[in-house]
Amino acid sequence: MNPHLSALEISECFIGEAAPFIAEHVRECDRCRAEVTLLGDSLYQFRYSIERWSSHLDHAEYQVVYRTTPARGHYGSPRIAGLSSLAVHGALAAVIVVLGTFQPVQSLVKQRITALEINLRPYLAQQDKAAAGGGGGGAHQLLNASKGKLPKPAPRQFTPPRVDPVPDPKLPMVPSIIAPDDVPNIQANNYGDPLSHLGIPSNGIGSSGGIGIGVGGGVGSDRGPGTGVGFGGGFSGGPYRIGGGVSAPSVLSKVEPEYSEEARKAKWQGTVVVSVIVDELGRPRNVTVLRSLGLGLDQKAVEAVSQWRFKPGLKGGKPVPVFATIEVNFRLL
Amino acid sequence: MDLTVRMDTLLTLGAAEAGNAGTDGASDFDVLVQTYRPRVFRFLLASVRDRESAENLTQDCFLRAYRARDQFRGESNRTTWLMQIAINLVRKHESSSRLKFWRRALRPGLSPADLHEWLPDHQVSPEAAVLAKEQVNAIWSVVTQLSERQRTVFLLRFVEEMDLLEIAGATGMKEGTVKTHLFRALQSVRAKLEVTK
Repeated sequence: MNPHLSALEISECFIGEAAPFIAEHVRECDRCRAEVTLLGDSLYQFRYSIERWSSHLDHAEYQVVYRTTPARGHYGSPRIAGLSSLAVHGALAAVIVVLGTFQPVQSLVKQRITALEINLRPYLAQQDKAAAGGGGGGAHQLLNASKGKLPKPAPRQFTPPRVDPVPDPKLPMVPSIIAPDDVPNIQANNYGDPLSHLGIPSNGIGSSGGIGIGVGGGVGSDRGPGTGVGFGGGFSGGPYRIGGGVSAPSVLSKVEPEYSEEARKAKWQGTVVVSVIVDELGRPRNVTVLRSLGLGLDQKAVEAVSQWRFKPGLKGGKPVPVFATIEVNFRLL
Repeated sequence: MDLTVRMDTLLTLGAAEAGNAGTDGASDFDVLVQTYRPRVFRFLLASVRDRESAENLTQDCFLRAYRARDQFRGESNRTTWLMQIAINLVRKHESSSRLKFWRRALRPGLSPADLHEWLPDHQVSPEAAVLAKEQVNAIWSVVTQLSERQRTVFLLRFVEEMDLLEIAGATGMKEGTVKTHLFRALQSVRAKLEVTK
């Protein structure tokens, strides 16, 4: 009998069926029993630890997956999946950005966006052209503004129009009025008030540049850089003519014209025809003489008519400025 | 003897587990999963030493088993069959050298010194506790250094308590080869235990 078990024989105890003599020896020999016990104990502890570790980490939520249809394929590590997802998305974003730099694509996109643009015009609040803007001016001259074309409309006024342009300006600038493009205009060689009468060129009796009897750089009888009757920039739409849906203004209060001294002495009588614009408030504007009588009667007629008050003409129920012609009779009894 | 008594209890436990899933047929695959999942997971966890990989591989193992359940001939027992799949998966996992670098860089796995935390607390004395701790750490460090075959065989024998024939069936090795691998693995463990002592 050999004194102690060999390494192979000790292993036999754990690997497979140990021969009877080995078991017998282990029972008898203290040293070999100690070795076998140490190895067995260690293996037992190891196994126990692994089991506890594993059951701690294990989750019992997997049976649900198996109960339903099994998932397709093996998706690998979530970290790899995350990285590849990031890569794919980044690549897509890069492709979109690169595509966007090409000219044809840009124009295509622009076209598409224009096609999608909604026409809001029908839904916008209607702007009342007749009430918008107006203007006037003048140069403190004695005569009313003479007839002429309007300067070019522009969004900003640098130079008010003048009937007599500065001959050799140091800083040439085309005069303009602040008005929309579709201001009705007349054909003429010089600037002036298109609603006025022909006469000696004059910038009008108004002030602050411009043409007319108003104040400001515009053309017309009111204030501002526009044209027509009204305030501020723009275009008052011009007076309407009576007829075609525009009712005639009617006189509310009259002031009888006086006779001038000269006319009475000369026993001069007749009719002065005065053109007047009756504005939305019923006030006479832009009173001009159409048919003159002379001997101071024209001025008397204008003076009188300027103090009249009217019920304004209506278009579609709204008061609008209307051209009116008034005959002023001068009779000596 | 103390050792044999312990071994016996564990063996009977294993037999009871196997008995629960006794009925054949694919319909009660659920039962199979419930019965064998802890074992498969335990083996894979000890093999790859990484919880996420072990979970993935366990999932994969049962998926493969589910797909191939009709081809299961019933010649070997279910443990052998499942372990065969698990071992193949471990081999595939080990050989995917492309991911190896990243796996090593991103998750260092369980270091050998951590396993003793899972030791039972009911040690008779502090001395015994220290001894047990050292023993477990020694075995664990040896296991992590073993070759893939030796480690597989070692785990199947001493953690899963399979006998040599079952191990041979699961690994596809001859019984003698299994024995040799086991012997070498045990020798390494013993050498390490000697050093610790």
